[in-house]
Amino acid sequence: MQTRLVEMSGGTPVWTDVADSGGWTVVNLEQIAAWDPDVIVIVHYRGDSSEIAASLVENATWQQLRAVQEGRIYGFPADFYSWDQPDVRWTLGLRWLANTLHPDRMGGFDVVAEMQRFYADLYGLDAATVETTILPALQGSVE
Amino acid sequence: MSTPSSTVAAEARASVSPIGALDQVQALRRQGQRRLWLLAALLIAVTSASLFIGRYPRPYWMSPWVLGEDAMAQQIVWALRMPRVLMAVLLGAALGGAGITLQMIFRNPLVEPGFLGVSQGAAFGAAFSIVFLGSASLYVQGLAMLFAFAGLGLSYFLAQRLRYGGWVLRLVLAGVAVSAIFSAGVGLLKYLADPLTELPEITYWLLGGLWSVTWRDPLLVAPVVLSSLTVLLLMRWRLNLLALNEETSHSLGVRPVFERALMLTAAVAATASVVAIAGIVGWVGLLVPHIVRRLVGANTQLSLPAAMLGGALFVVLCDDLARSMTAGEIPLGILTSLLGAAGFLFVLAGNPIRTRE
Repeated sequence: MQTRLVEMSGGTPVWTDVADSGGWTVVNLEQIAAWDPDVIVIVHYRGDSSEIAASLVENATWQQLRAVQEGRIYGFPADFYSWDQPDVRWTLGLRWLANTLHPDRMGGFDVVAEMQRFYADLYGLDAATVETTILPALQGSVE
Repeated sequence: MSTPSSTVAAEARASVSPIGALDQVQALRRQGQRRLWLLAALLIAVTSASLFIGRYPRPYWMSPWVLGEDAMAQQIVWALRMPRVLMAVLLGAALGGAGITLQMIFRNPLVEPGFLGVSQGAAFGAAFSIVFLGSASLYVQGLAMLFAFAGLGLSYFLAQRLRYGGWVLRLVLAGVAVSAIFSAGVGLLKYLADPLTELPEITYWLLGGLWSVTWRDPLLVAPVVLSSLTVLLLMRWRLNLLALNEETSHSLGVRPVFERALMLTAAVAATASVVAIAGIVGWVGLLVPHIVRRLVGANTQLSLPAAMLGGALFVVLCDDLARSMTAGEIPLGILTSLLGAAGFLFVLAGNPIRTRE
């Protein structure tokens, strides 16, 4: 799922030679350094991924990574459920990721407007409901 | 009994005078000591070389020259590899030392350090923490250690309450029962765990690994491990006596109950603390004692330190493979079990032990 998301967003996943069997794989930081990625996206299912990203920016070892030095480490957004999971919110996740990888071509990602449209179209929720119930749960590297 | 060992013993009896036999014993001891030093030198060499083994900047090997110019390489060696290799040394030394101690005390070559409810207790503690308290490493390790000791305590307590058989049998029975209770608990927790987040974490923990080790971990467990191993090292010559039956060892001036309890506690404390960090890493404590007995003889004066060195060597090598063989981490427990079991078969099928002393 994450591999497809990155590919569809116009990125090249670095991990394809590891995760050929599907499922999650543990890699160590050395391997990440050897891959030397342009962008790092943190996914976290039990809390705010952008906090993790922020804590990694503070970490002396992570600071040596090029992506971190260039400030291109992000937390994947989530509301009640992370947007990289196989449920309909992956479309939101895809638009966010594409904009994060290629901000010059995507022309911005207005998260509130996107979410209002998404929840109105798919769940028939009015703007006020989204504002009071869903937006407070929003986490990740979004403005 | 037509094994070659008895033939050798018979030859030795027939061919040498008592003084010659003494010379022979001393020659064997010197040989054992040489091999012990060799093992120590090998461990130091392998440990230092391990700092240059990994995935960065290229798979398998980093030339020392890179270290001078690449800040990332310095960070990796200092902040990732060094604590990890040190942890592997502590882990191996603890498992090897505890393994041989338990095998001697229980007079049973199939005993391993996780026995007596320690491994399963730690597994239960870790799984409990992952499911109910979150996966922060402090909780996981703390609870794993707590339950490892709880497993030991429970086994001890049950063994005292059992009214059946000798103390070896009672402890073994109690250990088996306690392990079964905890492993049932682990099964239940796996069933309850969230398959998306918690279950993979439990599974990885049960397979054992050192990928999350930072400086905090070896420093945290080093006091417990080193003091326990020191107790074992200082008392190692008593182990030979403890391995005799109760009446004999008592008549040789050992206080079996007290010394046994002390050494057991030291061995299990070392095991529990490393298992809490590394997860279940099997076969080290079972295999290594067998191999070092082949190398330096069964006398614990030599074989106990050799088991610690050998265990450390084995785990450092396995962890080198685990972190550098493929781009993804291979769980350490899988490698030690695979290589350990293969090695065990090899040892069993190889030359039979020669009698010494």
